Amino acid sequence: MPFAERRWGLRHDGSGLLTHWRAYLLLLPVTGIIGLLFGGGLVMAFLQSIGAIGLLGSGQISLTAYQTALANPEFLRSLTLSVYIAIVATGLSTVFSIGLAILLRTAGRWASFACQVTLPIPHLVGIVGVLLLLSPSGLISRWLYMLGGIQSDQDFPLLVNDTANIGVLLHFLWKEIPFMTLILLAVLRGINPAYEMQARALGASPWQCFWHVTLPMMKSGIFSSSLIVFGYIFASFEVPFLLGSTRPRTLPVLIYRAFTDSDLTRRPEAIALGIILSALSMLIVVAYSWLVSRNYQSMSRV
Amino acid sequence: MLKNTLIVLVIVVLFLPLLPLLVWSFSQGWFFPQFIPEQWTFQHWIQVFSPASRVMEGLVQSLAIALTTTMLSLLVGLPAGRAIGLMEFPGKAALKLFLLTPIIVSPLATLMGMQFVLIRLGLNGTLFAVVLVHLMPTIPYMTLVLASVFANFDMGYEIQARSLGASPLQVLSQVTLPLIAPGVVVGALFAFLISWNEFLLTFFVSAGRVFTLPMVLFTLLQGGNNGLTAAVAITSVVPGLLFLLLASNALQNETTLAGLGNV
Amino acid sequence: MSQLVLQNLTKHFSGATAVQDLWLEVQAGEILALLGPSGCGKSTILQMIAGVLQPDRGTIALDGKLINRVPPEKRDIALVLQRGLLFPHLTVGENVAFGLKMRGINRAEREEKAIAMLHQVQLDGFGDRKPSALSGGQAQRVALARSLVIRPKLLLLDEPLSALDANLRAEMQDLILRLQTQTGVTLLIVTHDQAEAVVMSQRIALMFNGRLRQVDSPEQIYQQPSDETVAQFMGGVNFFAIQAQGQQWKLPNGLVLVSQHRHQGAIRATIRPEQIQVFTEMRSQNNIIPATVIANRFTGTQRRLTLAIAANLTLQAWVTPTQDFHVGQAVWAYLPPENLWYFSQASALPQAVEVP
Repeated sequence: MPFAERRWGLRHDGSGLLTHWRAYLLLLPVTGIIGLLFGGGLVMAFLQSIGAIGLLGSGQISLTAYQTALANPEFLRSLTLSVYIAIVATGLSTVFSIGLAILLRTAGRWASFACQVTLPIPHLVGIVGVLLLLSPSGLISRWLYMLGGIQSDQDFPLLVNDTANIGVLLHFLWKEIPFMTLILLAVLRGINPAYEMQARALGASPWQCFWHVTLPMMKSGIFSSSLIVFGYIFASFEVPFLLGSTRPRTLPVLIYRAFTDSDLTRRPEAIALGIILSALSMLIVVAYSWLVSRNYQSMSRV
Repeated sequence: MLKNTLIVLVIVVLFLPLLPLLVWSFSQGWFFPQFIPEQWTFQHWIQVFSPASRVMEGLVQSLAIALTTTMLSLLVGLPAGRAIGLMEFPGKAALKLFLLTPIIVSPLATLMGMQFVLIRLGLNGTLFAVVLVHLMPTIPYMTLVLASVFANFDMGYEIQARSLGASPLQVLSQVTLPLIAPGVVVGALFAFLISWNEFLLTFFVSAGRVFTLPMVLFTLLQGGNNGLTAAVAITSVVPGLLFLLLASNALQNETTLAGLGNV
Repeated sequence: MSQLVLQNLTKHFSGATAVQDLWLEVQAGEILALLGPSGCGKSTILQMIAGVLQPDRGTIALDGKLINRVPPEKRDIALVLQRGLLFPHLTVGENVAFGLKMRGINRAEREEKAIAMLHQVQLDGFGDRKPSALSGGQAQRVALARSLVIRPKLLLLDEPLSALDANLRAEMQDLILRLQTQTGVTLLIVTHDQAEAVVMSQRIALMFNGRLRQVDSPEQIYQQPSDETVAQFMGGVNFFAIQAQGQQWKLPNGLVLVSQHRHQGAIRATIRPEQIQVFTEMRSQNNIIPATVIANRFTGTQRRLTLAIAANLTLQAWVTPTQDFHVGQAVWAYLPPENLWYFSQASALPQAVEVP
């Protein structure tokens, strides 16, 4: 608690049941709304998936939808693809964001502002941009043609709707790096530079100083921001739908297709898949919090 | 020098996807391998502003939804942010994790469940329903940003103001709110941008009746009119960009964003 | 009549006692210092008086009226916190006028009063500046002006000068005392600095661990501390065992001192180091005892001698720096009878005191 001494009133709030109730009261609207909407929605979805309620619900509770969902051979391929995209995009975004944040830390305000300007650009706009830039008839392809690198648009490598999902990954990097950098830059600016000076004065090289002092101090910021980014990418729909490979499809795309299928009997399966996806994401959050708490324990042991 | 070169390079790459958008929005039939369009036109932009394309209608609806969502998030986020930032209570860590759920866990299943309920309540396809689902991701962001700002807020200011004769309401309006203004601005920026960008949530509860700008863009993307798509894409960047410019000072305040790095 | 009456005031924080059964009366126009080591509960008392903290038990009365349930903004009590806490989003002038604005006073009158108040704290023309443009001392003066402009019945200062450097502190002390004289406001100062308490107040209330130990004038607390902890906190360094028979006080080495105070039996005695006189020659007088200089430290304003009296008895004597001594020198120490003070063994609670 770095600002504990500045939090003058804290001591007086932490006493007794009465003040706890005040805190819970202040939190009630937020927890109520999130619980009711998100939790409630999830419960209703689950009830539909087991056939307790819904259009085709016979009132008979069964796990058929889950059996169908898991038996679908595309499920595993979709899951693998989703995990692959989320891990690669998050990993690369994290590394680039750390680098960019370090660069921007000592650069002028103009630089960090310029990197923020793409922040408010909607995903769909980014998708349009990536399509018009990277498709075989896109801008880069035209540049290469002009420079004589390729003879026709057939020679340009497939970067959108490709099996390796390069376009999806590039889009996420383009979108998430500024977001993560913004957070990490704020974390970096909150670090007292005296620690780094002290490390240098004790004989650490710039690289050692970064690896042993700066990076550990950024750790919780890196963890949290990469968790948010991972969760977002894992659950993202529009980007893989419009930029990704057509087969296999990511899990959200698969679910969307099943849910909007003209064959209404596929609905329970779609909902079951949705529940599985939610469960997987929750597992990630739990694993993350376990990882973080373990990390802090090991830190306190040192 | 190397550092500045690198930064400029990054910025150029970040802006690169916007370049074809600009060119396409003014081009008439830009075929491969033409480097620049043969013919320029304002036709796409005229279309953007014509009622037939429903772009302006989408813009107005998006704006109304985003502003309402932001205001509501702020209303509930302020007390919650204060509790998390300034008070200690059992279950605080679990609560922060709970708040993260809507921004990390896929909303697909939840949306299917909500759609079921909203249809039965006759609310499906209303602006109210859209605002309601948009609150799921915006409230956590708003709360976390405000919690971080409150954590760095000195309660002494409130004590001082009370002792100088300010009532609790006066303290809120004259002291606390002005002092946490950067956090409010950044929280509102995030909430606005999230709501403004949202496609999936809107899609599930709009029943085709609420037509936000991302919905317009999504539909256009599946067509083939690159020029109009580009023009609409640029249009949908403008409000967020304006908000960002307004908030740029607040974004320099590291305490507002550090909260997202400490969840 | 007492203006402020605290009765049986008690406050606990998460099980720990911050203030225990405090009884205190403050007269109108008085300057009282609440003195004690950090964490002894003195700031808690100030916050309870200001109304920003509710006591667990006990009553607070101002001008004969119980104010326990009165919200802070209606108490006419102004609190100045250690860090000044000028509202950063307001100008200096707006800061000073803040309390007046809260009371619904019109702009013209607010400005007039704020300007006059800034004049009183010698900050003419600072009204349009932002607090960030002020030095620490200036900020603290604005904080004072901001609290005084609302004409409070009671002004509470919580460690107002601890963030300032020594020179500035003396200047601010003078300013606070002058403002107090001009306005006649009752002043309660919380400090952990005994020198500050002595200089600034008419009475000192000394606290340890949430309990009041002694309430007296600075002179009395200096000369006649109620117990050894109090004496130590006030800078006392000489403590020794005595067998008293009336005014005849026998040291462990057999030497007999004469005191103004009568007592029978074993007691602990004390004398302040600056009251011991040191001679290089023997004088035929009561309370002259032979000693050897074993340490000699020059502090600029004093020469601090450590004198060996007996095998396990040393005394500190702080003399004028013009007197010169060398280590090992045989000298005679004079302990004036009127300056010898004692505590009966029982009242001297052995207690670790954290002296700042």
